Amino acid sequence: MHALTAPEAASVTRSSSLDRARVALTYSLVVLIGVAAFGWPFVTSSQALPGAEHGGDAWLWAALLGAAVVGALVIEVHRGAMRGAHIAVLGVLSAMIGLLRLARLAGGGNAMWFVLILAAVAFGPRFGALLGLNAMAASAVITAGIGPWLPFQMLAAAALGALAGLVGHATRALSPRPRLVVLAAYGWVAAFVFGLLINLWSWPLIQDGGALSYAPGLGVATTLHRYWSFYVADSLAWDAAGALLNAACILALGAPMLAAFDRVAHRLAPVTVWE
Amino acid sequence: MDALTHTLTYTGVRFAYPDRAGAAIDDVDLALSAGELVVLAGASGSGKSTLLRAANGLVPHATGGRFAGEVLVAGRSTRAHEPRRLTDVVGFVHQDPEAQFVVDHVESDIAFALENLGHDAASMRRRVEEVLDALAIAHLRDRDPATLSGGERQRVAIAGALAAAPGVLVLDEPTSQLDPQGADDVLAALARLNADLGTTVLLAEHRLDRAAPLADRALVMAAGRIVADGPPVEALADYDGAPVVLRLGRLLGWDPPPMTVKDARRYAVGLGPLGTPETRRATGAQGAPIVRAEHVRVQLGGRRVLHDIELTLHEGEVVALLGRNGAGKSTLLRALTGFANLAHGTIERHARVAYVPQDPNALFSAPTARAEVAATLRLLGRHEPERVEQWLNRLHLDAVAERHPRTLSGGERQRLAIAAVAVGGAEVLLLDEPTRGMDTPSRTALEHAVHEHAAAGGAVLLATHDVELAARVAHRVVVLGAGDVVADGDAATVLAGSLFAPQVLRVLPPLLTLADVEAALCMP
Repeated sequence: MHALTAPEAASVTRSSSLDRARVALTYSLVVLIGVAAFGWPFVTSSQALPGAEHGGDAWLWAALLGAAVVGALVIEVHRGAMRGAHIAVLGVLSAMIGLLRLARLAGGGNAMWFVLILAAVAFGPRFGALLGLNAMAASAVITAGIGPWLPFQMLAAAALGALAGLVGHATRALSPRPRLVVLAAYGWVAAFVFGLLINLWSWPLIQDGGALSYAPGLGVATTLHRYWSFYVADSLAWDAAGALLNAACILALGAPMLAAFDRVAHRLAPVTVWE
Repeated sequence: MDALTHTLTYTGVRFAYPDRAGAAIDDVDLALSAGELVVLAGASGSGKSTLLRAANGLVPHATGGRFAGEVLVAGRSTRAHEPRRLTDVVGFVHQDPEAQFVVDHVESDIAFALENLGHDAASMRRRVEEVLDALAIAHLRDRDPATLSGGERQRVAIAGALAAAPGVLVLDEPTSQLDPQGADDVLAALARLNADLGTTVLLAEHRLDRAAPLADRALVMAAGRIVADGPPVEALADYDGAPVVLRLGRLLGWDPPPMTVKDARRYAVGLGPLGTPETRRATGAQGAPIVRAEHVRVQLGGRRVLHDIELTLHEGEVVALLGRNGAGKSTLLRALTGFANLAHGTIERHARVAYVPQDPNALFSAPTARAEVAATLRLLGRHEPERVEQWLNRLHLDAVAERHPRTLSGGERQRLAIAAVAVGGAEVLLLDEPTRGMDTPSRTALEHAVHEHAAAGGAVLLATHDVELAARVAHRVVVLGAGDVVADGDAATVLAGSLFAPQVLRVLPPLLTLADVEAALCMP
């Protein structure tokens, strides 16, 4: 059992390898939970069938996710990678995005995604993941949308936030306009990715024996094919509207918002050269 | 002197902000002895804030940048210790009294820092009681900081910074956002702390009239360097923001120069009567009425804020509006602009009226200062880049024209707000506390702009606590008290003999300003 006494803890101001290992472990845990939660329908055998509902296990996932988020935050703060100001920005943005989820389009899609994407681009993939998790949790409280689907939504949003952060890193060298086009394209794709992921939580529950429905033990290829057909029939049009909204919002509002986020991000991550 | 007697030392400190050309502070060597009260003067952008922030490591830990040299506080180097590891040896108080509270309960907010340092409940209780007494704010303990006046808030903030019993207290213009009463309370509290507890105080100030007489030592900064260091009378001798009485003493060859009105009066007794020069205050030569308020009454939330206001502004006139906090100054400006519903009375406007509120942050939306000024004209459907440049230049904003408005200093933001509003060409300018946080050169630039505007036939009404400003720029002074006009007349008459009297008037009546004294000396 490794326990730091108070004076020892006080002397740790910069990230140690132990902290880095903890961070890697925590985020890996989130990824693992995500892969397991979304991926299980494709690999189950005909015998191993979970209960017909997620009602039981969803709360376990949610609790695990909550613990992972708190753990990640504590470690990030402890190793000095996140300051109080980061937490404040995370909280404010989570609440804002949660509220924006109320702004829905009639045809599908809502106004939360482009803010999540732009913030993740400015603040990086880890921040993006935490923001996705938190914002979804916050929006569930605001929209009273708490249910077995919540952990899936949190995970999907975290994945999209983290990916947006990576896209932000990869496009950093581009000049602003082309970069915005790439980000808008990512926003367009992200709506479909979210739809693909989020339908996975309910799809296995509808086992009516139809050609589009889930059945255990079909093998990866057949399951994937069935799921794709289900998605195209059930959700594609809806997500297409959201995709257009994301891309339009990023193109229209991306430049000033990214400038504002970048200004804050810059101040949150000071680089000191000691001479 | 050895390290034991010095609580705060800077050795060869040079620092440059990221993305900013040139060093913010350069070649700073400074040692503060335990128990000193040191006042730090200098123009905006001279490096005062940077120097202060280096004391607890906010520079460079929170800002990034290039840092050379070493700052030691109570023997700890800021190279090895982050700000949060220094809260027990150095307390820091910011300029903005609104921006430094965590909890909506005074007592809990003061305890917050102690809680973070891991103090147990019993020792927290004792410390909180002690600082409440030290700052004379025990009666505020159960209040919400948001409901306090500026001066009270600043004293609560100082209590919070002192809770962990640091030996050094660093304050960045703690009184610049306060009215004179609040400023007096804060400075008196600092002097008491310094005298009773032996706390070392390092205090940056623009308004030195009150602070300098309390200090043991003064520092003057220019372009990132300390250019004068010594007893206030000597160190401030050549500084253009020196206290009015000190400059008066210099003008009249009084030696040693006075630091207080009381000292100055002693010299003035021996001085023969000076002539009264013809000043710019030609009260008879008023232009046509341009805004007229009659029987104006305004209610806010059931409370009557303005009772029965009669006020006329004329072309070519600068009017100062004085009065304590809550007297209704801001409400009157808003009413004249048309932003307040009149419960009774009428306001005639014969020209366009423009209003600059006290907190200019709310106005800013553009990415650069230049764009901010240009945006006003764009909204009016005009494209006049030369007019934008003219106003940037007039208020000395050329150097910061490409910066983001919210990264500017308090005084710069204030000037930018005025430029952005005035560029539209409204004949009547209503300015609410325009000199908050401004240094002497900025204030002078503003005064010139105000005079030019009036000389061109416009009118300016400025609500202010700064009687020296009123004495310098105003033709007419109006005093509000509890929603009524309690005095309205030419500046010399209204200011004479009141508690509002500027320092020169208190020493050499009936002269109002240093310029008046200079003019009187030139008379035969």
